[in-house]
Amino acid sequence: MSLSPALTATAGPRPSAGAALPAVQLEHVSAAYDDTDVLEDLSLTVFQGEFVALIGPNGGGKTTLLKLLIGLLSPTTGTIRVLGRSIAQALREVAYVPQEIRFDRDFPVTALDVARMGRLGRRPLLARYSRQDTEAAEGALERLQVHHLRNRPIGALSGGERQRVYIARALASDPRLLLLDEPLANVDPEARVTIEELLATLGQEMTILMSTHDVGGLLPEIDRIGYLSRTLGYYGSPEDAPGAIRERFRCPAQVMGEHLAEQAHIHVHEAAR
Amino acid sequence: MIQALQFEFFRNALWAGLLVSIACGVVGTLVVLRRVVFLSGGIAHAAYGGIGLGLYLGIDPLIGAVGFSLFSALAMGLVELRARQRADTVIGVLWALGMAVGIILIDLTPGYKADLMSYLFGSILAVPASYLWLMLVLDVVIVLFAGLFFKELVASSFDESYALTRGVPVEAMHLATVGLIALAVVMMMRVVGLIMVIALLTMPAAIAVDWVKDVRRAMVLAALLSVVFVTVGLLLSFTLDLTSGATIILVAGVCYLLSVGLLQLRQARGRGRQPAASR
Repeated sequence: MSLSPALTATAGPRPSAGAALPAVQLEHVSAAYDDTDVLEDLSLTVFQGEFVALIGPNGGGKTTLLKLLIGLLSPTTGTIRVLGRSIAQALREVAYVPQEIRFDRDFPVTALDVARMGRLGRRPLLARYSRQDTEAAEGALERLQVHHLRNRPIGALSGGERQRVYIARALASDPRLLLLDEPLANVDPEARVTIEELLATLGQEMTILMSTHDVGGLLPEIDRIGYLSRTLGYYGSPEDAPGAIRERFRCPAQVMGEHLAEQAHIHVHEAAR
Repeated sequence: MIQALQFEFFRNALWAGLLVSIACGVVGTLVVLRRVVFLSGGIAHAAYGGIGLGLYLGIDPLIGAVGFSLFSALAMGLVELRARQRADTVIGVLWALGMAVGIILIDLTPGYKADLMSYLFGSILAVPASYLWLMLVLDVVIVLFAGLFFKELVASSFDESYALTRGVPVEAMHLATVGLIALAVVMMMRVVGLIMVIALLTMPAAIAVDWVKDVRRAMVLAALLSVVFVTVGLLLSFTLDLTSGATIILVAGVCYLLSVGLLQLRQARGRGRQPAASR
């Protein structure tokens, strides 16, 4: 994507992106958890082949948006189309890498077992995993440089190794659209470099929508940045982003003070007007 | 002890132990991995309502127990799916309601009811041959189901959200698991009594999951451990003239505590060897 001349284009469709077919289309989407609004009247289009990063404060709705796209949550209003179809129809070609929150360290599965779960949608009920499934899972583990860990229990891996296994699980399903929720959080620096390099390569092969606190080394690969804080404060190329948002994706959230985050939030609202 | 084998009731008891252990290994592992121990306890106790119903209607209490526990299991399973915040409260209520229904129905049934204690505390030595056939059928149902839906059961236990995105019928898997628990509970009721069912259901699986990092192997190990616990408990209770169900549970409990201790020791040693833990 970094080679694309259309990098500087703003919200318009990019000519190089597969005849600019939309991969994700949200129209006036609102979502709520237990009667608390998380997203309000969100309209956004991601074109096929694009690499989009979602930034914004915690609780701004990044995770909610990703969950909407895979049907883990239903919108209260609005319509969502994924790969030109309904969510249920598109699900097979969409892969999701969740942010690790709760996790049972003692669960008796190996890294290979977990990667193979990516093949579930391709095997009907009652059928066992085939040799082809195992090969796809092993190939994905290899791509993420964790193949040597395939027989280790998932709980015995480090945070960075486990994150790579989850990405391998997503890749094992041969997706056209890859959704990642904070793939670079809780990852050691070495794993971070590996994951960033891989995401840069994957960006050439499929559409990627990623939520993150910290764009880091991926900035050149990113076609569009979305600043999400209940509403979409900015959506466009990183270059054209208002200063307050540029601040946000240039330095990691951990470094940035909370008041600064608030400031950025206010600026964005002003910029949006 | 060798003479004991000459008695049919003793041979039946050993068979019962073996058959129960198969269910215990498969279902117990699912219970431990899905963290539904409390729900299993609820199903086990609510099953007493089925015993009462069976007696009241004049049918085999066991048939009553199968039907009633399947029904209460599905009710509790649905509550867990639909009302996640207060699920434990509702399960606790159904737990007690089931028992209360059983006790009242037994009150209303005229006649001699001395045998009822065997459902509460178990009486593996009084298992009739007909019961063994029922156990065999339930084992076949459990093993067949777990085998056919193995990858879906594991995936939905490990990461429910992800399994859902891959088209796994997560809710159906949950309800099916809960149904299997009901079947296992009925089988085990006669061996250790419904009060102690959760202990035998969870302890072998809990030990197995700690030592074996593969679900299929954990199920087999749990079943083997269960056979050992039941057989050793049975022999001890026979020679020392103790209540069989409680002796079996004590044997399992001691082994569980030993396993936990050994695991701690191993982890402490592991830490000693590599001070900079890679975790």
